[in-house]
Amino acid sequence: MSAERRRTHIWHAIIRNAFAPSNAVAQATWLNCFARAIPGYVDNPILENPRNLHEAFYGKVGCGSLDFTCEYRIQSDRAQFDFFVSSLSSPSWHSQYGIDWNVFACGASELEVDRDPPCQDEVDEVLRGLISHPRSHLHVFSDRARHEIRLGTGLHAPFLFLFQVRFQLCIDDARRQQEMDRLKQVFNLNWLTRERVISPQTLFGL
Amino acid sequence: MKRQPNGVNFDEGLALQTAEELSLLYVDVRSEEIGRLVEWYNSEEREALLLGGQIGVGKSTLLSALTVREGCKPDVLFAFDRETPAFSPGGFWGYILGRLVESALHDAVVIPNGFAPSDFPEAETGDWSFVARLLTSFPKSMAENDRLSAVHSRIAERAGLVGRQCKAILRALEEKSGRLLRIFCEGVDKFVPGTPDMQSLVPVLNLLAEFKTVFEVNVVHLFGDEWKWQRAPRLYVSPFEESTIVDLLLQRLGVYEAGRRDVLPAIARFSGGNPRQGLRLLMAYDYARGAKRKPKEDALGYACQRVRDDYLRLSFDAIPREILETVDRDGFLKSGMVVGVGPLTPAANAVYKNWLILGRKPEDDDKWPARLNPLLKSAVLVTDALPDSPEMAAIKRWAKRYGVSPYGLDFDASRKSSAEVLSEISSSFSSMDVLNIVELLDTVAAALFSADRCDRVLIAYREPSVMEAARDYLAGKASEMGFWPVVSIDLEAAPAGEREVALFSALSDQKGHAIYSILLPQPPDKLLLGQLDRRRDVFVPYEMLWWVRVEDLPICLQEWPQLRQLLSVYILEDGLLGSLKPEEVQADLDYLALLEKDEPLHEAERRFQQVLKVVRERRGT
Repeated sequence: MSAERRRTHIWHAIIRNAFAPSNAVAQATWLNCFARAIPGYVDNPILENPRNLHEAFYGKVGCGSLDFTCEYRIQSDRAQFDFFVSSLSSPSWHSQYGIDWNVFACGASELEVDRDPPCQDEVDEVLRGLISHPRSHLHVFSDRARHEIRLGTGLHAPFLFLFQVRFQLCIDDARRQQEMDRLKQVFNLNWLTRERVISPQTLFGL
Repeated sequence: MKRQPNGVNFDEGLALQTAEELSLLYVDVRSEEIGRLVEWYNSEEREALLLGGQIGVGKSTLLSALTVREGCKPDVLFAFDRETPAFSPGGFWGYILGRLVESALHDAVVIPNGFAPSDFPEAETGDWSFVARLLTSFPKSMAENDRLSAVHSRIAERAGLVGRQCKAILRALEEKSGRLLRIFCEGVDKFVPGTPDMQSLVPVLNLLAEFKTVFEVNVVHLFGDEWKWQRAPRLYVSPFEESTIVDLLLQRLGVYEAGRRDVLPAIARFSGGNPRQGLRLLMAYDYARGAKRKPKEDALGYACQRVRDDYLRLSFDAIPREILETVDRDGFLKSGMVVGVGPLTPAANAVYKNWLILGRKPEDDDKWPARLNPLLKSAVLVTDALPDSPEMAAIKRWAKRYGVSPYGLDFDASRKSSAEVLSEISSSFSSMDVLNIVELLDTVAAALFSADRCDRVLIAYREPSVMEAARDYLAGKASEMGFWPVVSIDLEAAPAGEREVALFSALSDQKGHAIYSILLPQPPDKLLLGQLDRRRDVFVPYEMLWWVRVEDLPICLQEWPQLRQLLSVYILEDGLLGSLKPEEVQADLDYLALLEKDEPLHEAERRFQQVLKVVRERRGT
C-alpha cells in the first residue's frame, strides 16, 4: 500500500473518531469541552459559550491580542465560520491564500482501506496536515510575525475546522509544540490499531 | 499567578513576586535603587530605611527583586496591610508580637518576660505557638473575632509592656544570630498619614525604626519628619522613563507584540512613567482593539477614558484646582505644600492619589519636579510632543479631533489652556461606561474566563432586580465554563461591625477556582471602605465581582485610592430587556439540556432559569 493510502486512512480515522460527534448530545458535549479548553491554551481569549437555537449551535472564539474573532454556527446541513479582524481597517492589511505541496492532504472521501501498518511519523504528518499546517490555508495577517497563523481551507469537517482554528489562535511556538505532542499521544499507533472513539475530554486534555 | 513564558501576561499591575515572574517580566533599570538596597542590607550599621514611591510605581516589585534576585532575604517580615488582623493599637502590637514569637520559637530563643500564654485564656493549650497563630491570623468566625478583639483590648491597655517585650525578643534574636536582623515592613504605604489607623501603627513603626528595618511607604510619607520612624534615610522610587515603559509593555505582550508595537509610545506617554498605569492602558487598548474591534485611534481614546475612570475619576468638587494649575505651570511642587501635621494637605492628597506625578528626586529638596497625571490633561497637549511617525500622526489626529475625548467632553480642547480644560472637566458630566448585561459579560469575560488571571470588577447598579439578573447571568456563564463555585457574599446581611470579618472568613477557596460575588452594604460606611482599601493586597489572589449602588459609587472611589488600583469599574444599565431576549436565554438552557451535568453545569442551569424567569416577567410573557 502506498504511503498516500495509509495516510488517507489515518486522516479519516482521526476525523471519524475525534471530530465527528454523531448526534446533538455528542456535539454539545464536544463544544462544551472546546469552550472549556480555550482559556488554558489561548492568550487573552475572546469567548462566547455555545448556545443551541433552532437546532443550530453557535458561539464565538478569538484572541484579543491577535485582533481576531471567529463566530461559528454549526447545524446538520451546513456550517459557517465568520472571521472578524480589526486590522482590516489598517491599510497594510491583506490576506494570503497559500498552498504548501509538501504537506499531506486528502480529499473528502476515504480511499479503499488497506491494513498495512502505518508508522507514527505518518500519523504525525497527518496531524500536521489536519491541525498545525494544513496544505491549503489562509493567512489573514499581514505582519511577518503572524505568518504562522494558517486557517485550513481544505478541511471538510466543521468540528475539525473549529479545533484547527483554536490551535492557530495561539502563536506561542512552545505551547503549539506542547499541544501537538499531546495530540500525538492521543492519536498514537496503539489507538490507530483499535480505532476507538476519542472522547472530547481526552481530545482537549480536560 | 501563572505566567506564560512567551505569551501575553496581563494583570492589574500586581507586584512581581516569584523568580519566574521576575525572570520573565522584570525590567532591570533600577540598578541604582537596587544597589542602594543591597548596600543597606549588607551593611552592619543599625539603620532603618524608607523605600518610598507613588502608588503603582513598583515599590513592591523592587523589594521582590531585592529578595529573590539579589538573595537579600528578610529575617523578619511584617506585612501590616495584608496580615494584621485588626487595624487598632492592640491589633498592630499583637501582630508584631505574634510574628516575633514565631521567629523566637523557630530560632529556639527564649521569649522574654511580658505577656505570657497564660494571659491569653483563648490559648487552651497555653502554648506560644497557638498565641502566635491567634495574633497573626484573620478570625474565621464572629466568635473568633470577639475573642481576638478582647485580646487586642488587653494588649492595648498594656502597650508599653508589649513594646518592651517585642524589643527584648528582637535583641534576643540578634544575640542568637550574632548579627543585626534585617526586618522588612511591607504595606506601610497603605496607611495614609493623619488617619486613625496610621496613628495606631506609628508606635510600632517607631520601635522597629530602632532596628535595621526597611519600610515600604508612599512618597507622601517621605515628606516631613513628624515621627521618629520617618526620620530614617530615604530611598525614592521614581517613575520610569517612557522608553522603559515601552520595554516593559513589550515584555508583557510576548510574541504578540507585533500588533501593538506601534501604539506603545503613545501609551507610554499617557502612563506618566507609572508602570501600573501603563499596563492598564495597554490592557484596555488591547480589549478595545481585539474584542470591541475599535480602530486604533478610538481604541486609545477608550483606553485613556477607562483607566482614568478606574484610577482617577474625581469627586469634582474636591479637585485642588489651584494646586494642579500651579504644578502644571511651574513643573514642580514645593515640599512645604505637602508637609503637614495631621491629615493630608490638598497637595499631598493630589500626590497620594496620583493626580500629580512626582519626577526624579531633586537636589533641592524644596522643589520636587512634578506634573499633572497625563490622563487629566488635554489629549492634544499630551500627544503634541510625540515623535513623528505614521502611527503617531494618527494618534495626534485623534487628539485633535476629540480634544480631551478620553474624558467624554464635547468641547474642543485644542485651543484651550490646561487651566481652562481643568475648569471644564470639573463641571462636566461623568463619562463612565454604562453597559447592559451582555456588554458587561463581554467586558469582564477576558478576566472571568481566564485560567491565569484573577481580576476584580466593581459594578454599580440602580435596579436591584437587574443587578440580581446580572449576577445570575455572569455566574451561569462562568459555571458553564467550569469556573466554579460562584460564592455570593452579602455584606448588608452582616452586622455593621462584623462585615470585614464576614468577608474574610468567606474567602476560603485555596485552589483559586472560586469567583466571589460581593454585595456591598447600602450605603457602605466609611470605616468599612477604609479597611477594605488598606486590605487591598489581601484580595490579589481572588477573582471578585463587587456590586454597589450607583449612588454609593462616588464614596467607594473616594475611599479606595488603593483598592481602585486593582479594580475595573462599570455601571450596569437600568434596562434588562434591551440586552437579554428570552429566546437567547432559552438557547443557553437548550444547550445545557443536552449536556450530562456535573455540579457547575447544574449551577449554570439554575442560574439561567432564574434569569429567564426575570426576563419573562419583565416582558409579561
